[in-house]
Amino acid sequence: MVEAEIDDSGEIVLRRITSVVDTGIAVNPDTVKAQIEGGLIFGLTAALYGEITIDKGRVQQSNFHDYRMMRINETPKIEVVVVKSGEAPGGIGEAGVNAGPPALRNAILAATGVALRRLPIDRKLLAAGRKA
Amino acid sequence: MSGKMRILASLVMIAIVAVALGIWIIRGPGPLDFAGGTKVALADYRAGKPAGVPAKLEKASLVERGEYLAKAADCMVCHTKPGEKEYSGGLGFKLPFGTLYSTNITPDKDTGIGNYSDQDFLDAVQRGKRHDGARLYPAMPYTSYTYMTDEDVLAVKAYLFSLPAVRAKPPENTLSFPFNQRWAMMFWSAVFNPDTRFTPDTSKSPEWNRGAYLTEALAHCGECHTPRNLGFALDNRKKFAGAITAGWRAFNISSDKATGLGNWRDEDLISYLSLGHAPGHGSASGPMGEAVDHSFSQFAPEDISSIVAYLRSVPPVPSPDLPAGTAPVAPASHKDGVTADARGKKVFAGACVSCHGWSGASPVSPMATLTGTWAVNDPAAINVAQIVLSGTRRHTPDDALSMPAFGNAYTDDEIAAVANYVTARFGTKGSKLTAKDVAELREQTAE
Amino acid sequence: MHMAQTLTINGETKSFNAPPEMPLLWVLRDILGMTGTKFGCGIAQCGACTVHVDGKAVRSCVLPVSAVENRAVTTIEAVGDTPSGAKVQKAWLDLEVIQCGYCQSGQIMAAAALLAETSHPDDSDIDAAMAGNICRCGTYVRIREAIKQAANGRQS
Ligand code: FES
Ligand code: FES
Repeated sequence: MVEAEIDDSGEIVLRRITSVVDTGIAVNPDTVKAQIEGGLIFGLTAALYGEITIDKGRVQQSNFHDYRMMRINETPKIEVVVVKSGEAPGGIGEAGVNAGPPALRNAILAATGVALRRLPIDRKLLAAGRKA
Repeated sequence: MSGKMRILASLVMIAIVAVALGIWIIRGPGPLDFAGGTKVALADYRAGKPAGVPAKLEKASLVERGEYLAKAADCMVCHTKPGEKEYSGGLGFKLPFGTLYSTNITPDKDTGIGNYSDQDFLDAVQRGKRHDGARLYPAMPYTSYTYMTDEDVLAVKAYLFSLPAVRAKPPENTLSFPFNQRWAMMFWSAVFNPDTRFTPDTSKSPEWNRGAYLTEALAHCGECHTPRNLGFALDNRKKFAGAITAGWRAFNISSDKATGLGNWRDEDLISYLSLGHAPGHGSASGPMGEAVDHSFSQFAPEDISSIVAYLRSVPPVPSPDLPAGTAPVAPASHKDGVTADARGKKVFAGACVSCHGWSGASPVSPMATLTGTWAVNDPAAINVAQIVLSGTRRHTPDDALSMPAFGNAYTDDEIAAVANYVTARFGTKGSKLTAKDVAELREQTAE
Repeated sequence: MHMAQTLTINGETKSFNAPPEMPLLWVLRDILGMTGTKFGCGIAQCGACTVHVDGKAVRSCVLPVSAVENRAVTTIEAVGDTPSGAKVQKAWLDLEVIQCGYCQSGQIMAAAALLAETSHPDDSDIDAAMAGNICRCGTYVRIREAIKQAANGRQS
């Protein structure tokens, strides 16, 4: 679950993230949590900033000044709950990556009524949709 | 004459006088009129040698002398599109009424100036008249170059003709009516181009005269630093008082103490012109950065000194929209000083503070210090926003300064916010840029 | 042009030949073989190359080596010998902050400099000091916690 603030310009501020994960028997629950925390940030970075554009066969982004990452001052509180489970242990490496973007997208829908269907999030579309 | 005719005739007379008076008022003084001394023809001036090349190049070949002068006139920057061959043209100038493209001035016969005779070249550079008789737009600063001697103009021609011919046709201009009517430039030129060569002022030192020649005829500083009048020509009543050109602010370079160069020491000016940086005054970026890289950094030291001597003599004209002086260093802690604009602070903390510090004094290089620069003290934050959008890279000395362009990854809102934060924290008065302002600045500099 | 240079790194005097404008990071990694400090971006945008100069966190990828003559440079190899560095490293291990580890020498250097200056940083201090350090693995949540723990002793 993602809690976010969206202003008129389409700017997004993440407030809080809660994630519940059932990975079967958690051999090392603390590492499971760490993977989910990191995965969420990785996935949300992709949703917020991960645009790659190609011009004349060449990728235009080159470094962090034109290809951003979430930074610590954009990262909200993240709470991860590992469900007690007796199932066989499953992989947990990428689970958080995929959970973040749809949760954010749905938070945006709930907050603004704008149903985004493409990632990364287009701030202009979001701002326009919000005003419409 | 009947009564009616008499009334008509006097109306025509009044109209003619009004137009003439209007032109006279709009045109104002020439760039060197402020000096007021006795002018003599160059040939009659014996005290020094204002035109030509510095002493060390006196004996050099025509082409070498032309190269020095072409660099001093900074032909290359405008006549080269980034990434293309030097002098092959095609650089776009975004104007409110369309885009103007610079021409190919390599000696290619079809697309360049290979067919220009000496007279053609003189006509173009000093009079804004093209080989085929068409008029040049004053984006080509021929109203400045007109002060160059024939000899110097032809040396530049010899240099250009020594370069490899490049076949490259610049795109067609996209000017809208009535600005696409080149012939109309004839009238503009008649009013605003003095079409006269430099005349030394005997009341001034030889150094001053050399500086005047370099500054006015070659370096054409006024084209960016002097505000324009109603006719879009330089308004020398406010000579060097600063103006906004190509989306960047060219600051006041008159001798005004508060907002101009009056408080700069000679060594600061020398350092700024020859290296693109002066301690405590910041670094040249944008169009001035290019002028330093390609032009001023190549000047002989005595020529830089002459320019400084000349600049010192330009009467003070204050910039009313700038504060009287620059702000001191900001507090070292992020918590002290200006704390408003949370979004601006957020961007600054992530992308800017590593180089610029919370105090504005850079922990990595004096070239990145914000304290004392006019850019952060400009309440319109134009250059701050521009440099965030498009970055900067100075080639002198030793590639010592570069800042990446953040325009593609940060939104207009974020760039406005960070510019407002930076001007509030490090300048005298915070700017109030909006996303719309930033979008407009992007427009003005976009290729 | 190469020039003989002398630096004080981690309390030791090191002499080498390098152009004066060479970034300190290159000197550390390529000339002195001290590879604990990482190259991430080379444009002061990621913080992987953070070292201390006179106790302050500085990005060594944009710092010309000539600028640190006669100043004390501390790198990740020796930050554990400083009081704040030792506290930070312990908290980092206790909370298992590290994932791939690439950014972590920079994170630890930045955090140690923060604690040396502000013994009890609040969230805004942490943001101000750490936002220049990118972590691709997203360890930010634990970095924040670990800094607080290093400042206050055990706490979660
Ligand atoms: S490598 Fe120096 S900040 Fe990224
Ligand atoms: S731990 Fe992998 S980049 Fe930070």
